[in-house]
Amino acid sequence: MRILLVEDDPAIRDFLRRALTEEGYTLTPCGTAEEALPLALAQEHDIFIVDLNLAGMDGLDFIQRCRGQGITTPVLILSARRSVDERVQGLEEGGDDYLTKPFALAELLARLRSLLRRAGPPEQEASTRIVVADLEMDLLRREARRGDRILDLTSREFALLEYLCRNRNRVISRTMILDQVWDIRFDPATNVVDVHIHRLRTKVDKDTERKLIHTMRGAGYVLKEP
Amino acid sequence: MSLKNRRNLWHTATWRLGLLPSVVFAAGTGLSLLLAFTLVNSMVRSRTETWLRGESALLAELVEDSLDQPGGLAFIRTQASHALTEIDEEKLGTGGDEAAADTTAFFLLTDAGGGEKLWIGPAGKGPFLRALDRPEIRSGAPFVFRVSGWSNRFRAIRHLLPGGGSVTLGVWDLEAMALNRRLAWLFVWTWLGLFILGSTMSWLLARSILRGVERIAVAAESIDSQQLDVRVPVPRGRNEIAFLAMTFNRMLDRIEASVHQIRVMTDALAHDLRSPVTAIRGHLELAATQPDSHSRKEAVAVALDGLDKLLRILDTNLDIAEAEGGALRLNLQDLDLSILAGEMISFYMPVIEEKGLSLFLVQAPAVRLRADADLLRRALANLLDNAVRHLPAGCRVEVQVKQTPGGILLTISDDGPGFPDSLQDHAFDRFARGQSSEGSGLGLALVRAVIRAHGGEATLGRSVLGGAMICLDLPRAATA
Repeated sequence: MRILLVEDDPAIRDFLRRALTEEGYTLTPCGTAEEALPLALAQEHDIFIVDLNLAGMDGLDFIQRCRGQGITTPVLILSARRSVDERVQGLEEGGDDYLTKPFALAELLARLRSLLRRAGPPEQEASTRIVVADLEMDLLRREARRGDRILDLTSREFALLEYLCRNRNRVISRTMILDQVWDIRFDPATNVVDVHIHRLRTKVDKDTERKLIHTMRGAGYVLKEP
Repeated sequence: MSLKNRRNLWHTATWRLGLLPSVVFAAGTGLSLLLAFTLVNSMVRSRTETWLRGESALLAELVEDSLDQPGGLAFIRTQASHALTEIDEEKLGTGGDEAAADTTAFFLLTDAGGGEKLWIGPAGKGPFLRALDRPEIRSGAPFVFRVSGWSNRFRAIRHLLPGGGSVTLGVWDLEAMALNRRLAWLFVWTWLGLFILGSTMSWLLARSILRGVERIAVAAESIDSQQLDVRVPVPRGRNEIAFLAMTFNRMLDRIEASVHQIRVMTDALAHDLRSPVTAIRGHLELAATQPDSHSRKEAVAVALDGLDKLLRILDTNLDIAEAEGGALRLNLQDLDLSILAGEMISFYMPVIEEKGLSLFLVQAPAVRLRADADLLRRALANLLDNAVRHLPAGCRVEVQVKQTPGGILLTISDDGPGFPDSLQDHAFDRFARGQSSEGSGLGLALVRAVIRAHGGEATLGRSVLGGAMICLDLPRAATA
């Protein structure tokens, strides 16, 4: 997967180059939109990550030029502008997703994955069953079992577990959990998410040595096979 | 414009305020004096004419009766001289060189052919006779004429006699003219005096009023961001200038308060950022020097948590600033506050239970309103965060949602220790927090900003449970 990055801050460019290379992406970093435009028009990349505040040509201009040339490559906008209006404008003018700085790496990766998935061939029929090690979730009957033990989950706990399972082996930040499971787009001052995860974990990982839900301190949570 | 420039006389309001009434006043007095002058003038003339009419008619009759009798002419001369003396005496001291002459009135009797029969009057009758040799003069009507050698006109009346000939009686109009001139002088001087007095007074009055304005301007000039405690002197009385000064001072109070608030806020913000930044720096330094990979990860993780906290403070501050500044665009939708509150409470339930609190939701069904769901969730979350943070275990929290005549009321009350006294008056201010609080002091400020952005108000109430109570009044449809 090749990513074209347009970002004028060298610190962020450097950090993204290291992080995304480590994740297996090939990154082409550019400091200005002028430099990036010919590369974008060559259509050699699978996704663009574009900062809006650029010296010279603005990020939005860059996106519009690309769209004007018929380039449909998905664009993830990075911006320090955080107002709803600017977010809406960014998305209306050709961006496919919008992430405000500062962001968690886990969230950037998740959004990149979802953009690539959307752009790629359609997924197979969403399965009605998820299996991770000896955890089984039946999405139709809203039933989860660990081995032969049926888990007694509330509907939110079921949704939380489903979200973790669908993103198994990937670190999920608290912000992502809040957004996806509770539709909450702010960060509560108390550790509500931690307590919810803790409750879920006592139900899922009770009486077993093979823990599925792990805390990645400072980053979030991950559900992975032991 | 600086004060100096405004001192240019022509441009001062004092000048203009003084000038306008003066001009109006001058025009008014001038007009009335002119009117009086005309009136007096016509009165003087009519008095002269009345006398001429009466005397001339009398003399004409006399001439008719006695001209043909012996010694008649001498009798007429005596009578006419008598009448002329009378008039000469009456206009004593009417100046001019000509006044030195014996008389300024005259009597003329002519025969049928127009020739002079009798002349009583100033010496040098030639010019008079020439001037009066005008057959077109009507009988009994006053007329005026000029005589060469005399500076003023004469006013006269002629009576034609039935037996031919005529009697003409006239006076020099100098008397009326002099009176007119004197009156005119008097009036001009009076007018000038009144004008000077009036304009001086209105100028003084305008200046004394506007000096108050100038004092305000001088005070305003001395105000800058460093010196906001200057106040304008309020003049005595309840006039507009006093009102202006008071309004101005009230405005300064408000500006001083908000500048003070900004200072407190930037101080608090700087202070609030310092400690997490110090902690983050420490943990990262630790991570850099830690040989053991597990402790290194641990230190970095703690630093990341600290950064998240820092970001939350910054973001919340920006959000509050946006909401307070009216820059927040509400994403309005129809929603049921009971359901929304229920959802938030069930989201918080695990933490509430873990903290050993009990929470009850008392709600009316279907409390519909039009509002921004995300923002209301956030406000509710802040209230619940507060409860979880500040209440000791075992406390009871009650959330009530109900309809009121004016809109919707949401209250959250508890039986905890309540707000400390120091917070009673400004619990909703940014960075207001209790001594022992570890919060950012932003939670309630955001709540109020959100509620106000919806056109409502957040207040502290008196909890029947004995602890703290916060009331959120919301209109049914946000007025934003």
